[in-house]
Amino acid sequence: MTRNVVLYELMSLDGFADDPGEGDWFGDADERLIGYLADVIGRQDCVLLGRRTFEKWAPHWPSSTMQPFADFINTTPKLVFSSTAPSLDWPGTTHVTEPAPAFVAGLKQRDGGDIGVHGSLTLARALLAAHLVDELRLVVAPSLAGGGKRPFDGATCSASSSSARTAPAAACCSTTAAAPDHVHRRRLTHSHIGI
Amino acid sequence: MPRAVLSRTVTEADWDATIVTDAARVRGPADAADGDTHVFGGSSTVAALAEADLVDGYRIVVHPVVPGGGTPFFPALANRQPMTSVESRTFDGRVTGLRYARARVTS
Repeated sequence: MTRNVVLYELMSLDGFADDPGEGDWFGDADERLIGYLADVIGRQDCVLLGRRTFEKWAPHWPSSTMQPFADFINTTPKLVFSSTAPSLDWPGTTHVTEPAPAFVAGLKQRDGGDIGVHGSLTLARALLAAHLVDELRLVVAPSLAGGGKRPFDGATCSASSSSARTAPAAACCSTTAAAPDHVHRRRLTHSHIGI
Repeated sequence: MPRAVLSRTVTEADWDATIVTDAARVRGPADAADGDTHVFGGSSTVAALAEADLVDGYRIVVHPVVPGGGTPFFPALANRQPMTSVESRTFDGRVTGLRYARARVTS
């Protein structure tokens, strides 16, 4: 029994994934997007966070009433990956100094639900590069942000299947199962683009 | 079908093509056409048009692969360009087709 690592990212159409609270491209979530998020987090019983996301979220979510994510992230066991100890306290958080790929590979072997990765772009890239991500849950906002941070820089993986639905007028939700055993590269040509 | 070729170096084009040397001037042939003008080009062609905010819609086919390198389809832009999601569908369980229209403020 192995567990799936599920990467959930909010992205602009041109592939940037900065914190939507800081980027103005994302727009408002409607009930369909909330429903999609609820479905994703409903399967997760563990969350992996990078240091930067942790330091943004630890002061924010404990007092947030934005549901269903606030209850989920405040009560679900969280692992924060950082070589140095986080300066902030957030109940339910365990600090991990071990390199993320080796630690997560072990975590996947234990029983449990999905392991969620939210935001945490550096961590996400490391896990993608190590072929430890089993599923991509991408919410694509209908906007060209023009610049920012790309979650997929330097990562390679191919995916076996995908489904898409237009959730709000605002976003397209895409579910893609990663198939790390069949890694290949392709250049981006014409209007055919990779994820 | 009227054709225009975008190039800064080409001076003659066969196939009845109009040469457009400046992306900002592509509106001339586009406005002269009855229907939509389609752009079949590489990322640098589309980048030049996107930077000039001359693209009214995108039809994008997304393949389920994270290539990890290559030329990003969309260029860095000075300003955000909001779109409206028109359509998304999955063709064969793998490839996703996306259609967007540029959302412009009408005056």
